[in-house]
Amino acid sequence: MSAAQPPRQAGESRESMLARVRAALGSRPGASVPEAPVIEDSIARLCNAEGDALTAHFEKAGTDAGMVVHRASEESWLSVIDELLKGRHAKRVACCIEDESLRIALNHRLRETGRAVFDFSETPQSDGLFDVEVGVTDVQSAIAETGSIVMASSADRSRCAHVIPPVHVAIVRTTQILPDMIDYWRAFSLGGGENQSTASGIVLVTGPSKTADIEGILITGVHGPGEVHVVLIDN
Amino acid sequence: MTSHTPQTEPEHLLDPKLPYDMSPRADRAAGDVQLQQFVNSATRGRNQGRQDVCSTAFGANYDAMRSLAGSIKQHALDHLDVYLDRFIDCAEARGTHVHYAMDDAQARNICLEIARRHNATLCVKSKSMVTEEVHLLGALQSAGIETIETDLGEFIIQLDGDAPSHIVAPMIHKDRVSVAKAFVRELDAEYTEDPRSLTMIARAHMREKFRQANLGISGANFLVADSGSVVICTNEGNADLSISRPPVHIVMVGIEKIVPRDEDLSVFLKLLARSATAQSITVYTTIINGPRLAEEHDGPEHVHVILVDNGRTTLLSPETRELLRCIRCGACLNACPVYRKVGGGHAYGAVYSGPIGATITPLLKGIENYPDLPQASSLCGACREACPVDIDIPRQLVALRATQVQRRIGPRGARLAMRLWAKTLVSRRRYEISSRLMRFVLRRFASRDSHNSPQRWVGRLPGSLGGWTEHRDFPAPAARPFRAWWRKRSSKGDKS
Repeated sequence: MSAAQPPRQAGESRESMLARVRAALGSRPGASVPEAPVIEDSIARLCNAEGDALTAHFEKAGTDAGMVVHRASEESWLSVIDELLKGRHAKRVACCIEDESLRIALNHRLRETGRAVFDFSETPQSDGLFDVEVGVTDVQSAIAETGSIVMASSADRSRCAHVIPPVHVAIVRTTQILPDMIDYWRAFSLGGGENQSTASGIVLVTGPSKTADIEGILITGVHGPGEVHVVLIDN
Repeated sequence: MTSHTPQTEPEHLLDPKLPYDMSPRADRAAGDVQLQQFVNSATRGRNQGRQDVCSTAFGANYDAMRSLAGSIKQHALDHLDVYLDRFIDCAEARGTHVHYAMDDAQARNICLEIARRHNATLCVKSKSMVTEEVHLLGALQSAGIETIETDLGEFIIQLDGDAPSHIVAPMIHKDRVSVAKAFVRELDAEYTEDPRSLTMIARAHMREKFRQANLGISGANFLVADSGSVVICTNEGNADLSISRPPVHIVMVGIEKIVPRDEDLSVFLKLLARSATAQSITVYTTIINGPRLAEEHDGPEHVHVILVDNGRTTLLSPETRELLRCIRCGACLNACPVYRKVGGGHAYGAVYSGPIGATITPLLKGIENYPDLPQASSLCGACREACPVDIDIPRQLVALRATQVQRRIGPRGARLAMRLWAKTLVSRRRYEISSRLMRFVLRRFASRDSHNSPQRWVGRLPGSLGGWTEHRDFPAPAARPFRAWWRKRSSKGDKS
């Protein structure tokens, strides 16, 4: 769907800007463009681990970035999250989970344990995220090279789920982990091709929010969460 | 610390009277002991950190990575018209509105027009150098739109009527006491000097603004041509909060930020944070593909990208094109011995400081307006080794100096001295005569070194040469020149 272009009074036109660029380059419109430089794996790839080594690499990189990684199984992940919530005395929890089976299971457990649940798929407003102590999401992908988790916006996942609640818990399956950022774009291309991502907003999160603006002293939890937990389900 | 009164307009710090003479601010910064400690430890730490993490991550491939990144950026610039076209088509296909600003006035006006059209009253803004470049903040506030800088460093600078002194770490020159005082004065907060408490005060204040804002403004680190995507890298999460809740998101970005493919992000994201802050990647890497989709429940309804020229097409000419590769990582600032000495005092007199600022400011604003900047370098090349996109900054500085000579810019005395020097050096005879004269004069005014060695020192040179001897002695030449010693040795064949 193409955007209807509003009349442009304050700026210049597309043609005017591009004409100036072409003049500076000495190029003709319609001239063919050579291929962009090849990105050699041998130079740019930093991780090519597989299997258990891949999981271990992700765990280490995530921990180095300041996230807390909890290993779990299909049977134990709910209890792991329960313990986390207990440890923080969390009474209000937000749920932004796309995977239906995960979402249903978690909602059920949260209500069982007497917690107030704000489920984004039921109440799709990010306002509700401001009043919870913990936000739980699942992820689109994870990257072992940097220890990053990737979330894409959707009907069930708010764009702000990873950044408004002061504690973020991300549920990741080991099968979602990709070795290197290079692999991420191949699996979830931004533009063109059959793998094109349709989400309007994607975010790679690598650790808790931080700053060192005041005298170079590192402080976490500036605007985004001060704690990021990854519950890593082995499957 | 750098002293300034709250009445000092931030505009003047980065927009001084022209032609700009950097000596007063440079002298003041060099003499400020506490500023020196702050800036030195911050820049040295980051520079060493960059070298450590890049060596660990890339090993022997570090230079190859920088070269690859540089070649991708150069390719994008060499075909900027094609990639701009592609970016615009892809962005518009996804519902993004694209606007074109030839200069800073147009950039401000486009932004104001969008803000007015959407009845914006409260704007939250994440850090963007190009918005500083076009003086956006003042324009929004004059139009009655309350605008909050949400990056902690920029927030404090805004509160205190100050100006950023570093591309990546804007308040490298400020201490916690000035922050504490600003918070008491402007936020009615309890006085505390504890950095964590200060940060939490700022967080609480800004959280309310994030809840209520109806306009979000950001810059962009990269634009992906193949998909019309905007990429924003932050550590605090303030960009995500600024742009995801308000119904309108405006991205202001220079046209040089385009990269061709999403896979190129692999190369740049692996280099950007490592070069800037010695992290493997920033905490948040946010990719905006367009406004919210029909099935999504949050995110902006309107995304506007303002492409800004403001002199970049001038830099596109072949000799200076590589300067547009810059990804604003600040690595050159952290490596530069000159920046380390004077950068904290806003001595570069413009939005972009350090080695990159010293090259692009004279080109964008006129060499005659910033005659000191190309000279403020020892050409040590540290910046060139640090640059993740392989920009040859020393070569650009020398080219600027050549232009200054051609256009006769600079003090007449210095130009005359250089002409005389050139005339002397082309003739061996003139060289020998003049050096004999220099030797005689200097040795006459030199005093013997206290350790009774044959080396003599001149404690005080006369006139404007006295600038050298203000802080150190000038070595007097030896009694006999090397060539005389060599001639004697060769003719006699002795080994003395």
